Amino acid sequence: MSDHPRVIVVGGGLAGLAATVRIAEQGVPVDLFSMIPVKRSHSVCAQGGINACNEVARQQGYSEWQHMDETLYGGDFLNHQPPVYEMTHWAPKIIDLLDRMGVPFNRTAEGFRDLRLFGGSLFKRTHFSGASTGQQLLYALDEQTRRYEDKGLVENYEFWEFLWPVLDENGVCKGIIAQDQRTMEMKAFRADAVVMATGGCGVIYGKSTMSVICTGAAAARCYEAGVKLGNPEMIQVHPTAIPGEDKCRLMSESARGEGGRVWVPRKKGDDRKPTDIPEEERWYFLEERYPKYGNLVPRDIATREIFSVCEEGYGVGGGRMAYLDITHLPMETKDKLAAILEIYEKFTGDDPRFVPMKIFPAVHYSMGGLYTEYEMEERKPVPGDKLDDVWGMKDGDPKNMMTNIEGLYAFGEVNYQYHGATRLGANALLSCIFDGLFCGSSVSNYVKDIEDKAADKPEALYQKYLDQEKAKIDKLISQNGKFNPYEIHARLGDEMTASCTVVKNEERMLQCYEALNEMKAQYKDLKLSDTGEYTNANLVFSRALGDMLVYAEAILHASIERKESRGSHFRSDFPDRIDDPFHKTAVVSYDVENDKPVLDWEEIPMPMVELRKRDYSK
Amino acid sequence: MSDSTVALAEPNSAFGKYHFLLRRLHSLSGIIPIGLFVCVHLFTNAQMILHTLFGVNPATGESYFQHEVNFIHAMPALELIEYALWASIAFHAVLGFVYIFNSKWNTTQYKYEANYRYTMQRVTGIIAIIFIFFHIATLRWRWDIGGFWYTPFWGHGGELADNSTIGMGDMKHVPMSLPYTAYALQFHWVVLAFYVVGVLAAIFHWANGLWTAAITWGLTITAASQKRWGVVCWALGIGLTFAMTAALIGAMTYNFKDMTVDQKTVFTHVLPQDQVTRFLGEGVTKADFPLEAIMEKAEH
Amino acid sequence: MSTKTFKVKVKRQDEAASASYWQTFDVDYTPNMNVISTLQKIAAKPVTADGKDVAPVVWDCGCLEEVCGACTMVINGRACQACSTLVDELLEENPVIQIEPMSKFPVVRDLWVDRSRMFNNLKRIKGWVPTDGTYDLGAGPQETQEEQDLRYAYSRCMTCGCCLEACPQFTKDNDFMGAQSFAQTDYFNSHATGKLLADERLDVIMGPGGISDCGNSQNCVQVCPKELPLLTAIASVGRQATIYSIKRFFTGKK
Repeated sequence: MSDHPRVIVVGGGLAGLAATVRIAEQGVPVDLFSMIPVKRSHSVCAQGGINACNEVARQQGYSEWQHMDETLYGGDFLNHQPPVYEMTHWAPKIIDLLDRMGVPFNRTAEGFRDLRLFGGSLFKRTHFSGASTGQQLLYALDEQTRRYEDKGLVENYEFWEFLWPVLDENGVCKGIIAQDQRTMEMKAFRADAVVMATGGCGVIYGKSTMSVICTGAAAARCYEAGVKLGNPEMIQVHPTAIPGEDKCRLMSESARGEGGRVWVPRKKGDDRKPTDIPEEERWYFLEERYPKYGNLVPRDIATREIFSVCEEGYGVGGGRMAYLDITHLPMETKDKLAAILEIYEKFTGDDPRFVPMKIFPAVHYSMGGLYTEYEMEERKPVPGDKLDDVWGMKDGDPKNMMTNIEGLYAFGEVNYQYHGATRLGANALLSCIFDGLFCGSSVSNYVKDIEDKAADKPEALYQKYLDQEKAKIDKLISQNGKFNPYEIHARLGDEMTASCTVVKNEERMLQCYEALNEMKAQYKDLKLSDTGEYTNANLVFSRALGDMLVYAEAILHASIERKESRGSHFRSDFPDRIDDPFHKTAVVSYDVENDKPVLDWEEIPMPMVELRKRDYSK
Repeated sequence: MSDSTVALAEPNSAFGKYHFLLRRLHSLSGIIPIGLFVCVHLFTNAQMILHTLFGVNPATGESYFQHEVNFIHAMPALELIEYALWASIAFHAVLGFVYIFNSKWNTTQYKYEANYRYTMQRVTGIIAIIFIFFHIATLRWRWDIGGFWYTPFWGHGGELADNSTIGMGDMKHVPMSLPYTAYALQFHWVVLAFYVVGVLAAIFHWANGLWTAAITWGLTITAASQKRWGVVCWALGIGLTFAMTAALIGAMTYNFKDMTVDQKTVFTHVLPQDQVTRFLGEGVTKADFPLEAIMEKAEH
Repeated sequence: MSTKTFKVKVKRQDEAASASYWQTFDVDYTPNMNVISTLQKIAAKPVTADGKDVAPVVWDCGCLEEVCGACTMVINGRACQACSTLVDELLEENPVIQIEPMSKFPVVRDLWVDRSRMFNNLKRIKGWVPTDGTYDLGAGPQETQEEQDLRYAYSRCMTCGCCLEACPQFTKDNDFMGAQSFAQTDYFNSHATGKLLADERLDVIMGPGGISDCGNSQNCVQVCPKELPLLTAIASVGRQATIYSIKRFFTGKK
C-alpha cells in the first residue's frame, strides 16, 4: 500500500458513482465496492426525472429558492435547511454537467432540454430522459467512472459485499471488511475514508419497489457499529405501483406529470371493465380534493388517499386497486412514457395506452438513514432568494455528510438529509448526485490532510474485525437450527407492511414489535440450506436478514415514539402534526449490550424558512 | 477480475492489422468480381432459350447463344480475367471457411427468418463452391471423373472409333457451345438437379450477400432503407432465377437435330453410337458426316 | 386438496470448473408468477421433485423490472430476462419449464454467469464522453429531438447480454464484441462531444473481433428485451468504418 491516501466507496448507484468520479478527479484513488456490477445499481429504476430550476421556469417566477421551499414544505420541515439550500442552488449546474456527460435528455423543438410537471410543484422543473431517467443518469456516471478505471484511479470490486467498518482505537474509520460473493473470500481493505452510498432498505418490507439488493443491511451494519440513524421512521410509500408476486413494480409519477389521472368507480364494488365506465361514474378523488395540485400532490398524500378510498370499498372491483389512466393522452405524450408503459404491458399483459392501469401504493424510498453532519456557511443571496441572510453548506468542508463516526460518510438515499418527512418526486436523483459531487470534495479534502494514515495502521486492527466477521459466518453455518430464513423474511415483510407503512397506530406497531422479538429469537436458531464455501447466496441472504431485523426495530421504535403525523409518517392515533415536541430529528443509536434502539430528539435549525401548516388542498 | 476475458488477437499481428481490410475484401470480392461475373454468365446462358423460341439466328446461321459465347471468347486479356476470377473465388472461399469455423449456428434455438438466412448463407456458400468446382472441372478443365460426373462428349472416351486421335482442339473452329451444354444437362437428371441446386445456391448467396453487404458497408442504415434494399435484392435474385430457368429450358428443349452439319460431324464422331442414336435418331451414324469436310475448314 | 404445481428443470453447475447436471423441481403454482418468483420458491424450499434436499439454486438478479439487466438466462431455449418472463406463458408452450445459464459466458455457479467480457468491451471502445471534469462549464451541446430519440434508444442498453447469447458469431472461444459494443460505439459517436473519440473507437472496432466480424444473423435485434435499433447501429458503425478507412488511407499518420 502506497503512502497516498485512498478512499473506499461502498455502493455504485448515483451517489456512489458521483462521489467516485469527484474524488478520483482530484487525484485520490478510489476502491469502489458493490454487491453487483455498478451499472445494475438500483438507481436504474428511477423513472420520472430530476428537478432543477431552469430558465423557462425562472422567467415564469420560479427560482432555486422556490425549489428549496417546495422541498422543505413537502418534507414537512423535518429537513435541515442549509443542505437543501445548497442542493437546490446546485441543481441547475448538475443538470448542465449531466448534459455535458451525454445524458440523452428529452428535447424541445428548438433543441433545448424539455421539462415536465412533477408532484409538489406548480412549475415545470423536471428534466427527463424518456421515462427511465435514473438509468440514463446512472449510465452517464458509470461511463465517467469507467474512464477513471481505465486511467487506473478507480479499482472496481464488483460482487463484493460490505460487511463491517473498521474503526481504530480512536473510533475513526480506517477501512472495511468485505467479502466476494462468488469465491466467499473475505478481506480487510484499508482506507482513509469510507463513503457509504448503499441506498434504501425496502426489502425489509418484503415486496417494495426496490431491487433485491436494497436490504439496508450495509446501513444496519454501520448502525450496529455505532453510526446513529436519523428519522428511520420516514419511509415513503409510492402511490402508484403494480403489485406483483415477487415485487411491486414502480409506475412513475411522470405518468401523472404528463397528465395521467387517478380514479376509482363511484359505485362501490363496480366490476365493469374500466373502459365501460362512463366519465360521470368515475371518481377523480385527487382532483376533487386537491383542486390546485390535483393528481400531483406529494406522494404521502396521494398514497393515503388511494389507500383510504380502497379501504372504504371504492377500489377496483371492491379490491385494493385504483386506476391510473393515461388513455386520453395524445400518442406523442405516451411515447415519452414508453419505458414505463412497456413494463406495465410486459408484466400484466394489458396495454396501458388503451386500458387504464391498475395500481396500488408500495414501499418506495427511505427518507431516513444514517445520521450525518455538515458545516453551515453564510451565503450571498442570489436572485430569487427571499432573504438577505441565507445559509448553505461550506464547500469542501470535511465535515459535510460525515456520520458521527469520523472518516465514515453517508451519501445518497442512505443519508437522512434533504427530504425530511416526504421526498418530492424527482428530488432523489438530485440529492444523490449532489451528495456525490458536492460532498465528494469534502472527502478528498479530509483524506488529503489526514495525519494518521490507514496505511500505517497495524495489521492486528484489521485482523480483529476479520475474525469477528468470520466468527459470524461460522456461527450461521454451523448452528443447524430449526428456522428457514426465507420464511422469517416473508413474515418480517408482512408485519412491517401491515404496521409501519401508510397508516400506523400504536397497537398494531406493538404487535409487530412482539413478532419482531420472536423473529429475532428464531434468527438465533436458523437453518441454512447451503453450508458450502462457494457462491453461497443462502448465507449472504441469511446474514443480511439478521441486519434487516435490527434495522426494522429502529424503524419501528422511532415510529412508535413519534406520536404525531408528519409527511409520510401518519398515525391514526395522532392524526395531527405536533410541532412541540416533535418538530425534531429522531436520532436512533444502537445499544449493543441490550441489542436495542435508543432514541434521542434533536432540534432542527430553521435559519431561513419558518414552520407553516402543510396543506395542499388549497 | 478480467481473468475471464478472452485473449485477443494481437492487433499488430498481420491478421490483426489487416483484419478489417481482409474482411472488407472478402465482402467486395463476393460482390464485384464473382457476383458480377455470375450475373453476366447467367444472362449469357439465358440466351439459350432464344434458340427454343426463335431457332437459329438468321444473321449468323448459329444459335443466338453461340453468338454471345463467341463475343466473350473474343474479349481481350481473357486469360487475365480468368485468373483474376480464380483468385477471387479462392480468396472468398478460403476466408469464408475460416469464418464459418469461427461461429456456431443456432437456428434450432432462434427460429428467426434472418437467422435462417444467416445459416443458409453459409450452407449455400459451401454448396456453391462445390458446384463451381465441379462445373469448372468438367466443363473447363475436362476432368473425366466418371459416372454422372463427366465431361460432355469427351467423357465418353475422347477418342475416335477409328483410332486416329483427334481432340477437341482439332475441331475448335466448330462452335459447339449450345449442343455441348444441352448434352450435359440432357444426359441425366442428376446433372440437371445438381445444376439447379448449385445455381440457386449461388444466386441466393449473392443476393443475400448483397443485402447484408449494404449493412456491412453502411449503405443502408435505417430499418426502412434496409427493407427497400431488401426488395431490390429479392428482385435481383428472382431475376437471376428467371435467367437460370431460361437457360435450363433452352438446354433441355434443345433439339440436336437442329445442329449444323459441322456440329453433327463432331457430335457423331466423338460420341458412342448409342448416344448418337439417342439424340439424332435411329439410323444416323458418323458415316453420314465425313470428318474430312471440317478438317479442311480447319486448315483454312 | 392438493395445490397445483408445475415442473421446473434447472441446469446446475457447482463451480466454475465442474460439470453441469440437471435437476427437476416441483413448484407450487400461483397466478401471475414470473421466473424469478419461481426461483425464489425453489430457494426457500430446495427439495427436488424426487424428494432430495439439495443446495439452493444460485442466480443473479437485481431490479426485477427489466432495467438492470442482471437476470438474463436461457429459458426454454431462448435468452431472456427471467423477471419479465411469465410462467403462464411458458406453461402454455411446454408443461416443463427449462432454465439454463447463458452458454456464451463462463458460469460462476448454477445460473449465475460472469459477464465481465461485456464491461471490458465498454472500456475497449472508450464508452464515455470525454468531459473536462465535473466543474460548472455550462450546458452540453444542443441536439434535436430526433437525435435524442436514437441516442435514448441506445442508452437503454442494460448490458444484459441477450444479443450476445443469441449471436452465432459470438462464442466463448473467440473475441467477437457483438451488438452491445457496436450500439454503444454509435451511441457515443453520435454525441457532439463523444464524437471527439470517434477515431479511437473506430480503431478498436475495426480490429479483430470488431464490426467486420458481424455475420448479419440479426438475432441480436430480435432478442433485445429493450428493442434497441441494433441493426441501425451495426450499419451506422459500418458506414463510419468505411469512411474512416478511406480517410485513414489518404491522411492517416500511422
